[in-house]
Amino acid sequence: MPLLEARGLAKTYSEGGESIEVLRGAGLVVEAGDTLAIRGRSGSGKSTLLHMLGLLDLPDAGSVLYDGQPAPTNDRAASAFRNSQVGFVFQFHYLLDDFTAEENVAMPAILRSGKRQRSLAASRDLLGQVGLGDRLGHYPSQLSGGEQQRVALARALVNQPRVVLADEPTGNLDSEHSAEIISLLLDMNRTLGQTFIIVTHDESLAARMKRVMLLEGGVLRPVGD
Amino acid sequence: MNALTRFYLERFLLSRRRCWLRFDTLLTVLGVVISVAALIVTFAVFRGYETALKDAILGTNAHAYVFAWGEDGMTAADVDTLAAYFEGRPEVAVFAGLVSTQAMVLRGERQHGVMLRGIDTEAEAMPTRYADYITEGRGRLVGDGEAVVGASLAQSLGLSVGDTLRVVSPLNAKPSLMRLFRLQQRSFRIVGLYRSGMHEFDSRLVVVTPAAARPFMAGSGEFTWVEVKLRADAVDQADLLALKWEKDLGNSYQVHSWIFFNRELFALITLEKWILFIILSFLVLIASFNVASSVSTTIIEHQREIGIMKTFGVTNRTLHNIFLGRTVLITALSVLSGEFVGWALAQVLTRQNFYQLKGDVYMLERIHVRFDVQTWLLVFVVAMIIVTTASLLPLRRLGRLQVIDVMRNG
Ligand SMILES: Nc1ncnc2c1ncn2[C@@H]1O[C@H](COP(=O)(O)OP(=O)(O)OP(=O)(O)O)[C@@H](O)[C@H]1O
Ligand SMILES: [Mg+2]
Repeated sequence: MPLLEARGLAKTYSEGGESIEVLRGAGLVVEAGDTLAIRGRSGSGKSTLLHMLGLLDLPDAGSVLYDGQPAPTNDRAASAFRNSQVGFVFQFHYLLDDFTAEENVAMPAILRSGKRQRSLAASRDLLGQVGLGDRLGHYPSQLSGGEQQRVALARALVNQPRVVLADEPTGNLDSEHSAEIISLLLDMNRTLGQTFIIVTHDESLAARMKRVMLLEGGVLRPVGD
Repeated sequence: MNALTRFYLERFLLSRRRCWLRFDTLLTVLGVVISVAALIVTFAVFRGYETALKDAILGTNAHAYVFAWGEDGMTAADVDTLAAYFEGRPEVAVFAGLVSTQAMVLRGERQHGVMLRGIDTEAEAMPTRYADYITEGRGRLVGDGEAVVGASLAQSLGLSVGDTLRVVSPLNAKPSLMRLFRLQQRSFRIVGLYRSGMHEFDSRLVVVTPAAARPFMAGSGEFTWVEVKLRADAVDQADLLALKWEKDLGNSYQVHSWIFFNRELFALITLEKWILFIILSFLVLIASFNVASSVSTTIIEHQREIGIMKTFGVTNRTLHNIFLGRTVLITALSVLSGEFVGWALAQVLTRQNFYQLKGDVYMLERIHVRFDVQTWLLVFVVAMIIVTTASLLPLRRLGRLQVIDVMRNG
């Protein structure tokens, strides 16, 4: 049974009498341990699709299934699901400004386990793995863009989610830093078998994924092989 | 409150950044601080006035007064009867017969109406705190020619200890046949000054021995009334005791307590206190609008932060708690600072000398303040409820916020 399945996702935005059909029956199947790149023109609906897969947004029609079961739709259940099963990474390394790197990474773990010390320890461990072991007490404003993105990645991984959804995670980084992030992701995939779905424009990143799909005209289709 | 909410709020309050100490936050809560300070000052002054007045009334007066029927006052036999009754009563601390009458004092062209009292100042204990209020000279009157005078009275007459005071019966007093031939004018040597803080006494009291005061009495009795001082734990039941004694004594005497004489006064003070409290609570309410609107702003400013937290699984409910918690913490801090500012202001009020109360209106001249835990708590709870309730409405925005739109493109 696939880890994640999307069937006939549709989404239409209407604004000021004009309506834009962003998704018209997009579907995909992702097995556990897969790495998938999603490409597409700007405005084609990649972010919209990713939010639906992560239960941040609801489709007008169609469904998202995890382990063959329809994903929860109410706030409480969907939040708990996101907390334990999904990790998000965004293009703009979103961190909480008033918290240190260590605290930022620990938050999803505190939310999940309720155990602060253990969560902070896990956070330090993970920040060490992404090469920021000496920046634990720094605030986001004291970190470079690449460093912030590595903190965000650590936060996405701290609860060992089964699937990581990344929206152009290297879009804002120079090639050296993006290579760093990519190797980190692939490392995780190899060692922990985590599933990655990555929206990207970055050719080199897409090329290193097992599968690539293109979002065009509101539907997804495989690229290459 | 879950572990993340606790963690967030603790960091919010204690982290090195101290984001709540920012200038705009301080500006927002200024209204709360000021209105709470006003509440505290007002309450402290009223409570202070209330207690100081009660203290002064109970110090200058006895707790209960026993009068004979008719206008002649009490005979020595009356006083003996009462003494026999009070002697065994556990609630009675001290009692004494006393002469009290109106008289005039003369000093050159000036004349003053005074309260002339004949008191046994050599008694072991007295029904009032007379001895505590002697600020100059001595309170004990050795001979019939000595007097103690209220300090303000002495000042307005330009007299001090050692000077002579001339006392006459008021011209309009109706002298009885018996008294017609008695002395109606007498000079006394001032041996002490009396200052209680009660304007009425300080500006009108002349104390002499009972024997010296008797000729000025209108009636034929020996004493005007009998004063009773109660034991401390019985003071607040004075009105009930008065009724009981009256009955025990077969209604031959009238008994009135200090409560009877001052009931309306204290009721009025209490009423004024609560009216002011309600009015000033409206100030807190107005200040709370400011806080509420800043909650809206905070939520908009933190949209990105809210979005991030949602992506890692924070529920709307927890977000609500977090932002409510921020508001409650900031409000609590501002209410506490308001209470502190109010306390400091009240201290200044009691120590200043620019403004004094009008003694003839307020009975006391100094401003007194008094704080008690109940007041702190009451103001704290009322202010917290008002401000927190006002910020609940903008917090409902959280549920409707379209965070994913913010997350989409930075
Ligand atoms: N809340 C909304 N209201 C109206 N239109 C919206 C809304 N959200 C998204 N859209 C539109 O839907 C389309 C798809 O947006 P989306 O962000 O998913 O595209 P994208 O593929 O991620 O683009 P990019 O590569 O630039 O990030 C866009 O045309 C966008 O303007
Ligand atoms: Mg996008």
